[in-house]
Amino acid sequence: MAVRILFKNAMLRSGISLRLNSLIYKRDSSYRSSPIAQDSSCYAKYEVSSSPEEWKFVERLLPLTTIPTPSDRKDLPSGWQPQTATFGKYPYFVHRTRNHMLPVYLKVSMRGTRRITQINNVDGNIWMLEEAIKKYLMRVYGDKKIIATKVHEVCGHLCIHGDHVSRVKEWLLKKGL
Amino acid sequence: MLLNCLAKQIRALPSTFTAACRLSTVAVENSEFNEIEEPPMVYGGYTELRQAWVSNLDTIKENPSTIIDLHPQVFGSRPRIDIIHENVVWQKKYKYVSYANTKVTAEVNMSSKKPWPQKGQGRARHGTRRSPLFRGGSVIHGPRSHTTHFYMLPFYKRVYGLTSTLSVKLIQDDLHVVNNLDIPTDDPGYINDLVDSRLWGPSVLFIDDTDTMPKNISLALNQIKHMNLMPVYGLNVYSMLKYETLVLTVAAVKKIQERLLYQLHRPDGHQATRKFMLNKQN
Repeated sequence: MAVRILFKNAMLRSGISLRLNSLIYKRDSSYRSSPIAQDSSCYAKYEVSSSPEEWKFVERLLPLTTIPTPSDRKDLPSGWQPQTATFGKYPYFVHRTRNHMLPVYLKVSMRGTRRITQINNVDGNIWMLEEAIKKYLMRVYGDKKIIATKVHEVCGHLCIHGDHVSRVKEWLLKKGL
Repeated sequence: MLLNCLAKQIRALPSTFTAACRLSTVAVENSEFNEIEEPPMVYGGYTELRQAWVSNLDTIKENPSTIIDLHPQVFGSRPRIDIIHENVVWQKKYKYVSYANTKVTAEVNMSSKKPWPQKGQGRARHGTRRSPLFRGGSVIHGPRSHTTHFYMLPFYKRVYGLTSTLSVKLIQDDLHVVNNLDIPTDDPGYINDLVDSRLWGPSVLFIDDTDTMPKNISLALNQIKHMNLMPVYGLNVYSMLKYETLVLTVAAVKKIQERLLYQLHRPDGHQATRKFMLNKQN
């Protein structure tokens, strides 16, 4: 602004026409001085189309309402595997999360001294799943390690004492869950 | 008293008025009613469907016509009883304002004079009798009034609260589906007989997808204090537990399913789980 006033004074002294002066004195960022918006055809050339071939480009830009189903490929670089087992194949079933990931989590509590592996979304006979996982972990670690588990049947949660997240995930993927 | 006045006014209205109000929704209901067999939005690898009979309210005797499919994620989820409890506590607390009040030293209505001289009396030194050491004085760390207990429950706890309570209601046979809320008379005795004969709980909550309810049931339930009407947007955990039986219309079931499944499967869930701000809509 200061630069503009300086510029204007110089202009006045040199005697340039008033019209130009008012142009120079125009303020920015003011509601009153800003021009009134005109019809949108003044700013951009456009034509209204209702063809479905062009609508698909608009659809591509619209935000998704559901998380899309991922591909069935098993060789993805991330190592993600699709769920191949269907409900009813085993007496138990572990549903994927809404992001199609395995619902196996590590719960750290007691200032990091207690580590619990938690499997959520367990459906069907949760006691059979507990038995199967216990058997698998016993085979992995040998008989010396005690695998303590806790079953919450109503919520469908299975907790295993200790950090066995990768083992459990491997086992579930091998089963196709 | 006010409600009775309102009932008189509603009775005075021409019957075409309420009919016209409901015309749009009735048309939608009828068009959707034929598509009940069509599977709902997302299935995933989920368990077998939950199902319910679609009965009617226009005769006292139950006359179920079709079976409606209920989505297992909404009506057959593993009930999180802890989340239901959290919802109930939240619903009681967010509207509670504590008016318990005590005075601080400056507020006590008592003389501000020094009770006795500082020295020479053999007594403890005191500057004012308003202090908490004196009888009738102020209270230390006492409650100060207009304490709001408002807080917002995390978004997905609210969603899971609804799905858990609906599932619990369905599995306890306290959830019934009807095709619409049309009854032949506005006599409260009719609805009482109907509820008794079908062995529904003494308290019943009727839920429709719109808040323009049919005339007859509105007038009938106006007289009965333990039954209520509610639109889908008012559905909440506390009311579902307060009333023993939940009666949903087919349109309400569709709407509840659509909204809850959208929330359970939306890709921009982080938008909904942002911190609650009073001046911003989530």
